[in-house]
Amino acid sequence: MNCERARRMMARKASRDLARHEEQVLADHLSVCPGCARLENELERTWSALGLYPTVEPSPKFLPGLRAKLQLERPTPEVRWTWPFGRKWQWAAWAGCFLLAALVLTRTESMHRTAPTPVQTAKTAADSDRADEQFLQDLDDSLQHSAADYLSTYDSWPGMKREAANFESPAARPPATTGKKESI
Amino acid sequence: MVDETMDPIDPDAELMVAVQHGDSAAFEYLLDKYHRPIVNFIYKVVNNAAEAEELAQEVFLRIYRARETYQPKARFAAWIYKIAANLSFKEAARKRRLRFWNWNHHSGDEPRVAEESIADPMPDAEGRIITSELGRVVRRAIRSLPPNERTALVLRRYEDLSYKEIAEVMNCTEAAVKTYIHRGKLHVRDCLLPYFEKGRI
Repeated sequence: MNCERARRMMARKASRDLARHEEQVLADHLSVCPGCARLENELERTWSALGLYPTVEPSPKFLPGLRAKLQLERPTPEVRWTWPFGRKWQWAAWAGCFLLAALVLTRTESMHRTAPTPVQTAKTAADSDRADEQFLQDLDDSLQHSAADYLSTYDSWPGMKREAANFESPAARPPATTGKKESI
Repeated sequence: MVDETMDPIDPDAELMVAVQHGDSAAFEYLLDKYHRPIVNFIYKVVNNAAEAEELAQEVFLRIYRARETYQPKARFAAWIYKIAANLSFKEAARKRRLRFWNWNHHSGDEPRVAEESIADPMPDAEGRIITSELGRVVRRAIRSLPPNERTALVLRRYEDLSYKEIAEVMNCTEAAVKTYIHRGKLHVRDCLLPYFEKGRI
């Protein structure tokens, strides 16, 4: 057996995992190998030397301090009596938040309902075109009236009445699209 | 009641079940039994007596808070050491980060001051603990171990937990625990070599 295997067996011997026949094999090796025998001896003495580690005695304040902390952990009747009052406020705060959230949600929903849908927008655009046409028509009408009013100012002038009668306003001209004739 | 799959019936787990049902005397018994070992275990991981006491108090507070949900699936000792180990690792990691920060952000002689203020807030307690030169050497050797090796070695040598329980505490296999312990032993042996040669051990 070589020294490396012997050292592995030493580790197993310390954890009591070595079979009886293996112990015998190791003992045979140690009897002929001074290096391994010395290591075995030093490891045994190391285990004993570990007992020299000084132990700590807890300070006299340790247990009273711990008992005081434990006392705080234990629920007392006074603590139980005071907490529900605080919790009521917590519940009230939660209920307030809930109501506020519900209010905001309701408002948002109603806003969404009144907002125009895409179909409605298209309809409105068509209406808008019609309104534009109407506006242009109204504008033409107002221009015709303005021209008539302007001419009526010179009504008393001689010869102007005749000219005014011959005056043809732009609205009186027949429109290019419809061909409809309108007089002042 | 205690889980049937647990190997022997653990009286401490029974007591914890009693605590679950409101028996405060049972908790006092557990406190009395475990407060010294837990303080010592944490002390060996964080290397500071005052911090060890503070963390040990936190361990018992957590146990008390967890009494409602406690299920006796493993030995009570394994459970309490697991909580202690987790807390100690977190604290050790926090200290490492703090030391790294001090090393990075302070110049010249400043880090020394910060390190001392972290390490030894109770010098008289430390003085009470250290009894011999060899004790100091062993302490230094264990202190220099990586966290896994240190925890496994301490739980096995000082707290007398089985390999299976240590594996539960450390969330690893029994084989890994055995490896950690053997490596830890080899490291401590290297630190003690001069004393072996002088024949003082």
